[in-house]
Amino acid sequence: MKGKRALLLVFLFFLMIKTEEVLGQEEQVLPDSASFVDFLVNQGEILGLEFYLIDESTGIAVDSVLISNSKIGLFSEYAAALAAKDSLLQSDSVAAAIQFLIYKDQNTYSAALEFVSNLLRNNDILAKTPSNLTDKDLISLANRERYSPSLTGTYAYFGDYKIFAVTIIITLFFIFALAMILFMLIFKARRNRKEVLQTQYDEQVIGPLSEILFEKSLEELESLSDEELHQSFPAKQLKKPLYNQVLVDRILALNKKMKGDFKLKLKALYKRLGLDKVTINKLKSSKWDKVVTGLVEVNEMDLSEALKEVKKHVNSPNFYIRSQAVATVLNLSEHIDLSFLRDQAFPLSRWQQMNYLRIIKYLHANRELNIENLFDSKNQSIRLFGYKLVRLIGRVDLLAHLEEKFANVADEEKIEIIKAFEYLGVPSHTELINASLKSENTQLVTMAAKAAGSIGDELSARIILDLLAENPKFRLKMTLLKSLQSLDQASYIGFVKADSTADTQTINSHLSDPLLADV
Amino acid sequence: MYSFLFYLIMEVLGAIFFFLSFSVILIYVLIMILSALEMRDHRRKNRFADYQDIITSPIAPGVSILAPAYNEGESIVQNVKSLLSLHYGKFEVIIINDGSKDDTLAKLITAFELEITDFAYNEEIDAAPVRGIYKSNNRSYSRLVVIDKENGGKADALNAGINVSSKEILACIDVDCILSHESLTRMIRPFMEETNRKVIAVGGAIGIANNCDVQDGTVTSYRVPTTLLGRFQVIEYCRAFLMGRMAWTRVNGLMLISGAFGFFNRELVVEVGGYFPKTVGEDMELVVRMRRYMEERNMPYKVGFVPDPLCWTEVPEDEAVLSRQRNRWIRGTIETLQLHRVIRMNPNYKTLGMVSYPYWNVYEKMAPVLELLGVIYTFILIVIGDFSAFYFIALFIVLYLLSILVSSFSILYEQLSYNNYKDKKDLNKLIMTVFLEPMFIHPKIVFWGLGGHWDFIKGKGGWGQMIRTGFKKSEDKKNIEPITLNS
Repeated sequence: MKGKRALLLVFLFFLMIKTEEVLGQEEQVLPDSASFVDFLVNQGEILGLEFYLIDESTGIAVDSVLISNSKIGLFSEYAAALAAKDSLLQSDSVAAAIQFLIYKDQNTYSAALEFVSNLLRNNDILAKTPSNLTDKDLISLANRERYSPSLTGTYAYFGDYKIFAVTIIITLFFIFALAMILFMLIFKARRNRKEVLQTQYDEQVIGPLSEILFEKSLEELESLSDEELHQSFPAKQLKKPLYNQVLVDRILALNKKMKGDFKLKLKALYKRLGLDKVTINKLKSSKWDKVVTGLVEVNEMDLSEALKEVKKHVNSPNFYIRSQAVATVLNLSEHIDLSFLRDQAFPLSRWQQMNYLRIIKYLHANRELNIENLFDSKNQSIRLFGYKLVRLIGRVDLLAHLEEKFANVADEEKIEIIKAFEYLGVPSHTELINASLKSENTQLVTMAAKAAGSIGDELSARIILDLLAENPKFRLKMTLLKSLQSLDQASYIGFVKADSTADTQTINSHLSDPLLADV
Repeated sequence: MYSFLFYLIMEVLGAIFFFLSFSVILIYVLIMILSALEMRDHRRKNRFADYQDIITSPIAPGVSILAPAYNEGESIVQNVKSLLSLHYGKFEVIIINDGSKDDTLAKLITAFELEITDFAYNEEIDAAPVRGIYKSNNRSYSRLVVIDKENGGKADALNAGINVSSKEILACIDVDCILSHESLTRMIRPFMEETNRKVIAVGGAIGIANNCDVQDGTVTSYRVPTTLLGRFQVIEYCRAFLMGRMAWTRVNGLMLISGAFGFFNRELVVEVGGYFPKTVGEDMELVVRMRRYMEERNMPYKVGFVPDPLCWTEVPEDEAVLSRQRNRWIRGTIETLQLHRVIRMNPNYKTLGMVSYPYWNVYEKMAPVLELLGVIYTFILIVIGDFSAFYFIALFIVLYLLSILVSSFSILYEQLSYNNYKDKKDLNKLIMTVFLEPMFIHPKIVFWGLGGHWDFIKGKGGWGQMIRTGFKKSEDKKNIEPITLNS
């Protein structure tokens, strides 16, 4: 509302400025009496405006007989009236004044001035240029004209600042547009050239790499002299960043696919070529993408000597650095208790969870990971991840821990714990399921009802029947009926027969349709 | 007095046009900068993403693909097969036959061995009556669900699909779109990455498939369309997707996700009442309503955008079809902005109310009208003798060059990021189109936009009486203020 008022105020202010500008047109065209008189003299006859002479002392009209050049004492031109006035003064010593007539009506000087000004403003009359310019004072005439430099060509061009500004803008736009198109064409050419070079370098490195991998043992590789190594990977080429990048990418790609000795050989070669130092230097970069590139390379090439540097990044505020650093520490550390993950302050995204899960699943077979550490994290997303891990890597032994935690955690965590119990199919812990079925939280009830279908007991079936009697919402009702169907077929059939509501019958049909068994 | 008023109006109009002209320049410069930053970040992030994990990870969310079909008998089977072959672990394909008059349903039943089921259809969102829900006996097609319903339009069909869907994320697409095998994995990533804000929707860029080679549901070879209209749309799509939407994503102000390829959080879509079937701009309207919902509850959220080429469609190269499309787009924009006018310049809605809405109102909705007024203004200036040819030509040149600059920039983006048009001849053709567009295509677009305004005023395809009679239930749910032409 305030914004609207402010905008309105600005607009009104703008209108005021603009109005003043337009009202400015109402200013007097003939600013003083001298210019008015001059104008009348020069202009000659003005339609609707006439003059006659009056005696200055009495205000009575001077007899037309006295004025030879006017039949009835009226003058259509001011100059004539002025001349008559002068002649009267000289010949008869009569002090006369000029009276203005507008459309035959007697009017004052100011009315006549306004009348003439209006005619001029509306372009009803056009001001005549004085014919006797040479007789006038040139300087005073020049003062009436607006000054404009009588320059031509380049000077005139730069003299008008508006033209100059517009030209500058156009030129800039033109240059930008042209530069953009030129850049595009140059970029296209360079990119094509780069792609060609990449292909060439790739062809250059793939041969020597295959030779080293398949024809040389690890010991032979490690005993290669610099000259021998540079025969395969010329020192001159190794100084080229693009060649280096192609070589690193190729080694990383091979490393992903290879196992055992081949991996060791690739790692040895990586170090012999000094690429490991380049990688570790990347970890100190101020650019986040360079740091992540370094972390990826450390991870892929198992450069455990860089672990200390990597650990500095596990709590980085940058999502990508943090994610990759944690993944690298998980992969490379010999002893992991996941405490570094437990202490993370930043919430875990699903993307990070997905990546860590892949690594933890792989490591789980060989190492003791102490997943239970995560249950004590102050960070809820880490605790939730811990419960998920129990389910996803099948740690039945940790269910007792979860059961202990259950009573004192938030509903969101309870849902995840119930999922773990349901997924691992442990029917001995039905108390937490049955307690959750009585919760006020619909999501928790839905999850508990779903779990009850596979790990519930008789009490669960009774609670479900009670819930169904309260006629819950469609989705919950469907979950409850589905669970009841698998828990206690007789109760299910009894309920469906007794409840003739459309929802129940529709759900019953759905649950009885074999085509919809997995929907 | 009349003379004074006339000159006052001319002065005010002059000032407005001056302000608009330079604000357009400023806005485009800003858009170029913001989109450049966003594109740079996106490309960097993409380098470190391993999309293979999402396909099988139990942590990845499930996706319900919703594809309404109306008289698509000729291509429906091929399109559905293409959708079923997408690389993703947890997904279902829901085809909604929206009362087709051809053999769309029959072809689906035959090709996928479908049988009618007793599916417990729960009308969480209002939709036209459903005649039947089909599933296949063949395990190969277990992901497929076909809904046969009475005709109600695209939004209504999508609402029926939402009622049947069971996954966390909804992917609303046009059934004739070509999706890359990677489309789901890449579009799901923004939903999974965010830690502090809820990602409510993610839009995807749409490529133009005219004149391209398509193999196994993917565009394998790019060529620019043969007609000027087609090539203009390539540039326009680059401008819209690679520049405009990237810039709006940068400031979290995106108001439009293309109806042909948009991903939404199902829970929230149901919460806000689904698609609004009485507008032709249902895609934009849904995004604005979802954003309003989040803003009104002070919940941190984000609308994401993925500029990668993941979805392709054939664009109309015929003037009659294109004019109808543009007419519909402008009506959709007007309807959405009218419907949600409560957010206009309302600081409670932050970027949405103070930046996105005013931008759409002035520079998208009103653009054709303002351009027409500009022409009329110029004509009046000529008549009254106040016309300055120099300044007119200068401004014209500036705007023409701005158009070239912006279009070139968007093509540069395409080249920098994806380099799909590898043949230099294609690039040259696009550059030529950049020069021709402002003179030969833009006036037509303005004219068609004006047609949209005119049709909206006449009530064509809009809400008219319908909104007040048939929409009450959903209206209450959405807590939005209906605006009719009569109000």
